[in-house]
Amino acid sequence: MSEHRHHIMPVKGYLAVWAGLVVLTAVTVWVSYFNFGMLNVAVAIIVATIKAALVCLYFMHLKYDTLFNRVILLSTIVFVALFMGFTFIDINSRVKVEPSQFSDNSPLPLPAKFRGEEGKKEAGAVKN
Amino acid sequence: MSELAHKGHPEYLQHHFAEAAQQEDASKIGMWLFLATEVLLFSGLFLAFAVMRQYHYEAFREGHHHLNKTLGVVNTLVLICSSLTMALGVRAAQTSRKQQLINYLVATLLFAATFLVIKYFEYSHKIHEGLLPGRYFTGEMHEPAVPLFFGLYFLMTGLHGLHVVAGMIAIGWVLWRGIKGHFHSEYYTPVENVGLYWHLVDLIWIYLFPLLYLLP
Repeated sequence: MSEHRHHIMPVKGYLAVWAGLVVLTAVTVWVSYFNFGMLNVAVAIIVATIKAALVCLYFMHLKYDTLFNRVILLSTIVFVALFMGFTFIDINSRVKVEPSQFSDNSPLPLPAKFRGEEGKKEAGAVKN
Repeated sequence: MSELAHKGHPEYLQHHFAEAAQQEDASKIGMWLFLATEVLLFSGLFLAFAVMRQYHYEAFREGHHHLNKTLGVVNTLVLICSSLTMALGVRAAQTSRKQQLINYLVATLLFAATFLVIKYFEYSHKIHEGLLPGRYFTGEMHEPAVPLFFGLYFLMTGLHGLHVVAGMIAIGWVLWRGIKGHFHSEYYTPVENVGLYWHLVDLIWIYLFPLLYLLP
């Protein structure tokens, strides 16, 4: 019975996956020297996801595992996507009520210590 | 005692399971569900990073230049190698090779320790420069929000580091059981589950590394 249950991958297969991961690590480092503008994050995440897929399918045996375990992983990815997707829909559709007085475009005021000189003065003024 | 307690079925099969296959499936489903919660735990931190990076883009760029790319690459390769030895360790258990299992588990532990030693050097360098989270930050920066970057850096790599330590404890446990000869081709679920956990530690680093160290 167990001969059918357990798929034993050849050592060569594991070494090939390892080599793939090393090459893809080199690729991520290499592409980080180019500036794709808005696409920087996307490129980094795509390469990381290819690496993650290799680890999941072969090292974690998902390719030969039961459907149930694959569904668990896929639903995890769906929930992470919902979590991140909806947060960004919220963040990016907020109307800035008043222009930020800080050097960056955060709608949230930073604690006084991190505000730079102007912020500190202002925090002091409030105290007095 | 075990003769009586395990009458009619192998010692590794617990009484409430009909057969070994059922026990293994149940155990692995449990492990995958646990891994799902781990992914969701880290996704909160990744989301915080993504949102804060959008709000404080310049500050995150400045903070990221204080990370050591080379050490990040070396640690990535160390973890990939540890994942390979872990996977080969599971294979050794699948094929009932006891000595091979022990060797691969020890190799995995050594890679894990290497990772932590490199991380220790990175951390002590950051602490030396005063790049600590929140109000402990004493570094001199152009952008006021840089401490946010280091807060997330320490939180994310620190939580990941704790997972490395937990993984090492788990690997130590299966190593001990492996030495006692508990595992063979019919029963190696603990090795496999610890392997799954270890690969998850690698998976999280696969995303942490480019986002923290590499993004231009």
